[in-house]
Amino acid sequence: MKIFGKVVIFVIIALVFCVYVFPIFWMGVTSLKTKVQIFDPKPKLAFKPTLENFRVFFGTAQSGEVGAGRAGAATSFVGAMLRSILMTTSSTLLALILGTMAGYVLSRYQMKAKDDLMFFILSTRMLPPIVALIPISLLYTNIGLKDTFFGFLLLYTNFNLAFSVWIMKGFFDDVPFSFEEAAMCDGYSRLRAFFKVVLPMVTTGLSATAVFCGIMIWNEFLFAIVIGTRKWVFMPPTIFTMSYGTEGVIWGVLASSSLIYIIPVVVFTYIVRKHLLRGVTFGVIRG
Amino acid sequence: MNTMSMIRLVNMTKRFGKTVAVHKANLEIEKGEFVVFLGPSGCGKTTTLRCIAGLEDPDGGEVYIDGEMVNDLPTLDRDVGFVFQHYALFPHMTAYQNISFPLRAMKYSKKEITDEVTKVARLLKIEDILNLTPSHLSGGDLQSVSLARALVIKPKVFLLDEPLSTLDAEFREEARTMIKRIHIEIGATTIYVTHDQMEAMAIADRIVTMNFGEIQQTGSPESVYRNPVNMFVANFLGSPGMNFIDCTIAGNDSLELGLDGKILKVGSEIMKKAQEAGKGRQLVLGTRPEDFSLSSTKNDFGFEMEVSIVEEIGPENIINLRSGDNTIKVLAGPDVLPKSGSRMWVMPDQDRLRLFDKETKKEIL
Repeated sequence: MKIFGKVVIFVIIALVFCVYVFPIFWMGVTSLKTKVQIFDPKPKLAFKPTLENFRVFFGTAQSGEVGAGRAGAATSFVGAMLRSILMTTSSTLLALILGTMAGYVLSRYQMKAKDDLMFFILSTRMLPPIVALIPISLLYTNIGLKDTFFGFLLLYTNFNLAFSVWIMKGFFDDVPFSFEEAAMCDGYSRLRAFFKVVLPMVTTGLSATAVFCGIMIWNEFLFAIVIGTRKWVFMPPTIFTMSYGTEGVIWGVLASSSLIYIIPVVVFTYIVRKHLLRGVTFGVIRG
Repeated sequence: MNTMSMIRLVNMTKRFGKTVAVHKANLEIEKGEFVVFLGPSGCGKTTTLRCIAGLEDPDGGEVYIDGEMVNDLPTLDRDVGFVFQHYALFPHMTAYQNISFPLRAMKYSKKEITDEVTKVARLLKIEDILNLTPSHLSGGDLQSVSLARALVIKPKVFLLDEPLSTLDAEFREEARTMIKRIHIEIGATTIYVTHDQMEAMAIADRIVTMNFGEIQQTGSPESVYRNPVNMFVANFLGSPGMNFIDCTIAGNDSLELGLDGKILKVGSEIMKKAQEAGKGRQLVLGTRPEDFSLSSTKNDFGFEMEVSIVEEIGPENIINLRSGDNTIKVLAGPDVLPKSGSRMWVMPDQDRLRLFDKETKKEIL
């Protein structure tokens, strides 16, 4: 009975695993195929792999065997990748810093209409972003923020702020105030107590917020394609435009660029995974 | 004014919204004294302590530490060690890091930190757990570590907020003795907050009893216990607390008790007090449970009551006696085991009788 149960659990986990991993596996396989191999009605498990799709990504493709058009287009993959990394990092950091400061204040200080304020902050997330697309696009054109680093930074940080404020407030609420009082009795100022005592206790919240905000910006497509037209073009629109050739979708390039694109997120999430496990350091105040 | 006192409160008041948590507290604490704030929950004792530490800002009055007015001085500059009820040990640090935390704020060198931590760990006998994090420590050890963290900086004032209330009963007495021992060894001025009158009696040089945000009485455990200034203090100290019997003057040497009109002959001293308070005034007679003697034969200086329940608590028996709806509790030796329902004569010790005004609840002197 015990073994049977284990087998069932194993099978279920294996199935779930396959469901999640198969698309990535298929993407990997596709990225190593030529155009002819991709369109083969009877896909073969053993095929002669090519790195040509990756060469297109790095702008060093020689032949037309993968069918990539628009070689030498103004927007290169590598440039878009670097811009995406820069924007995601800076905007996530900014959202994290602002969210942490606001969350701390909302958690610790009494103020008038605090609940209304919290509701207002959340309400900025209640409409789908597309509703604001045209107004923001027009506004940005008029005030000169369109296609600028600062414009995107402002926009994306704003997207994530509501989320990061709410999450961080929740985590600060879980840290009893007596920890800070204890630190103050030990000769620390409120600010130093915050850095020495409170912040280390909310690393879970910081990591979770960073991961979610980061992924949100990393994958943002709509505003990126409308506002970032020439200079500040990020990866999602680039993958979209670069994998459409004169003969339709270039699946090999789509697969290779997407595969490279998910690597930074996977690495980052892997690094912070230990902080995402809640409960490691909590529950020590007893009473 | 005595400038030698370590802590002085002058008309200190603290409000939370409309609730007055502490009302015009006046208090002086000498250097090296062990003072216990005693009172039921919500009486303002913890708030007073937190005002001294600077964790709350008083709304009125002044707080002095070592002759210096500290109202506007932030906690970190007040040189106080504070032990929290729920320890408040930092979960992401080991016991050693927790204890050295205040030293690191004061920029001690590595060697000094090691020396100081080792010293205080030896004092509290926790050398062997210094490398563990709080989640791996027992309640008693957590308490010791938090005491160590407060003591390591050798504060001018050592403040403890119900430090033993979260401990299991078996550790509590041990920890109580330990705190007393540490106080004797280092002689720091200590304020200790508790709602447990036994703890207060056992540990204090001086007890400050509080109720409804006001200081009721201050004095040595013995004097507060023996000479309570009002009915609250009389009842709060002692287990069971003082018995109260309503009475009025009945004659030149006797009082009529609120126990179905029973008459008790009393000594001239008490009688004089009762008469000075005024004829017809509602009075309350107070006697501690241990200040009675029981007899099965009639006695003029006693009154007859019916035994209802006998509680055997080991070294003594608590005998509950009834007359109508009124009950009094008498402490008697372990061999005194009267039958439930039997009648007995109860004689209060005349020298220990206390008289209170029923209206003001204050003692009549």
